[in-house]
Amino acid sequence: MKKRALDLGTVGGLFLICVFAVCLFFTLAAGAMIYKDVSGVMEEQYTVRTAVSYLAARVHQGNAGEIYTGKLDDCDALVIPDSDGEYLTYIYCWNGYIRELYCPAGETLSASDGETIIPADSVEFSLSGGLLKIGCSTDGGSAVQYVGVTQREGAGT
Amino acid sequence: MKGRSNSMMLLLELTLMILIFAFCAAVCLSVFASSKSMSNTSTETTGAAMWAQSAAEAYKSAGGDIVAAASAIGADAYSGGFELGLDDDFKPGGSEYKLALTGDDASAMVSVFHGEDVLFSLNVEAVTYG
Repeated sequence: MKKRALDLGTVGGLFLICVFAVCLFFTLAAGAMIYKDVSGVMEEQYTVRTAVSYLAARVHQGNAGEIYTGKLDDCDALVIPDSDGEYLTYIYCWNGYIRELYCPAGETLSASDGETIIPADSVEFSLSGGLLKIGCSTDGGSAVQYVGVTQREGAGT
Repeated sequence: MKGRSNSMMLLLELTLMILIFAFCAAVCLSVFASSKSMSNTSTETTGAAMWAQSAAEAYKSAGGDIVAAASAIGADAYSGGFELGLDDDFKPGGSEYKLALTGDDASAMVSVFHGEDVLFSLNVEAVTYG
């Protein structure tokens, strides 16, 4: 009789430990899954939307100098002249990064000279009627934003 | 008798431990669910804010011309506003979200809807660059 009670207690204890282990596993699995989802979303927001927001802010910052689109080493670039037009800031995507190059107007520099800003697969600028369309794509996805600009008369696009 | 008492105590201890763990797990799961919900809300608000800003920029750069602003961002214009359907990734052409601008040539209100809920809205006034 004593031996049977001991067996029941052992079996009950083992059963409870198994329940505990299963609960622990599912709780950890749920936590890991949700953490993965949330960090994936955060990563996407950082890469795509931070890049687009940075470009939009840069356009707003340089709007007084009259922005236009152009080319740098066959890369589509956004060109932001400073207030007196002596220096230009080129913003473009090259070799997996959005880059920024600040140089005197008329100076011939290559795309590799720019300073890296943020990783991106491609950036697209399209200027039409005072509205700049910024398209950016990265590993995490793509996003588009429109920004109003002051367009220079006769500026090349 | 003493052995049986020890066994009962062990079972009681384990049961109590599992109850405490179940309570902690329930709290953790509710926090996880809440964090996922907050993440979704954050994503929606960010996407909605970007499109509302784009619509406002288009309206301002068009000098308050709603039809021109709608044409610039690919929205459908109607009398006194325009609408643009967005998919669940905030790309144009879906029906999950709706970007709407209502107003006249002086000022307008831009809103982004998810069903009947307003995710983000802002007021914008037309300006003429010069």
